[in-house]
Amino acid sequence: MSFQFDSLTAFYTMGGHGPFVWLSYLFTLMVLVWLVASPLLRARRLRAALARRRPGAGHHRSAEEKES
Amino acid sequence: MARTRPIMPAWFHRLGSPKGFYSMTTPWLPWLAAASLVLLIGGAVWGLGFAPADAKQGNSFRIIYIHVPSAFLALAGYYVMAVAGAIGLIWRMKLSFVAMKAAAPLGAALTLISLVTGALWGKPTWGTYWVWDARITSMLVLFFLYLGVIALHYAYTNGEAAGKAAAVLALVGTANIPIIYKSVDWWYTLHQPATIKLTEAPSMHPSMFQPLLVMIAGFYCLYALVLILNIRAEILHRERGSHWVVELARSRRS
Repeated sequence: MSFQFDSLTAFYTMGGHGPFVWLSYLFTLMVLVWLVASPLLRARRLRAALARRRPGAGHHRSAEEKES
Repeated sequence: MARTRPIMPAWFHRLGSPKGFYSMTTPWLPWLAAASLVLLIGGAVWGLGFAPADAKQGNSFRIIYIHVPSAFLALAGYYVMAVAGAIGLIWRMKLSFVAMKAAAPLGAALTLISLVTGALWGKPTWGTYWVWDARITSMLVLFFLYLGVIALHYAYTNGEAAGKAAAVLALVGTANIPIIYKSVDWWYTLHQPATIKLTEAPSMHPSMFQPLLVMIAGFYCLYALVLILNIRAEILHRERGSHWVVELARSRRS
């Protein structure tokens, strides 16, 4: 197993297929990062809203807990 | 006094209760995250730089290392969603509709990745980004089925009613899955036949095939990670009135 390209430039251009290959990987990376980040951010929002709630407020829902 | 042996192991019941699921999956998260990161980065570097270029397609072939795993998981994820919906309809397990809802945006995103990377692969290989052939059209239908399940959850304010409606849609949509699988055999199409078949040896050279396996494993780990994260966030939302969630929010900042 060895590096398949003669130079870094050849690696970027990929014999003319570079834009297609790199755009594919970039798009995938962005979607995957969004997939991981969105539930983490949602959980953090929910926890923060619950932590702000007065102790003993019971089951009352405050405005900031309402999210889609 | 005779002690009766429980029919199902304890972990099964823990997995079925929101609180049990939440506490049980907490230690899994760093391992799943590490495994996905290592496999996906390793597989991508291997596929992009070290796997040989395809004799006919050249370097555009390297898109296979994300196109095939994402399509794989888009289909497997549909089973996860439909089976979770069926369990929710039949046995009314509390977590099953939560799992179904969690699987929908994940499946939609993976289907979108496979469609976009497929288009970007199609341009240098077939000369066009898009053709209305059987495989691609049935994948687009899969994307809309996922969007339908997501939309139904927004359409109902009642979580139970939303779950039932979405489960019915998910189950009806299962008819599309065998069409996707067989589309490359049933119809004349530009799309190449399946690279990996369970019943046959792979048609690829091992030097190309091994990084693909690494990427598929990486996508599986990431799928499990995101599914669990989605379920946990939904549990926090649905159980926000329970004592344990309020305590969790006050005590832990992680």
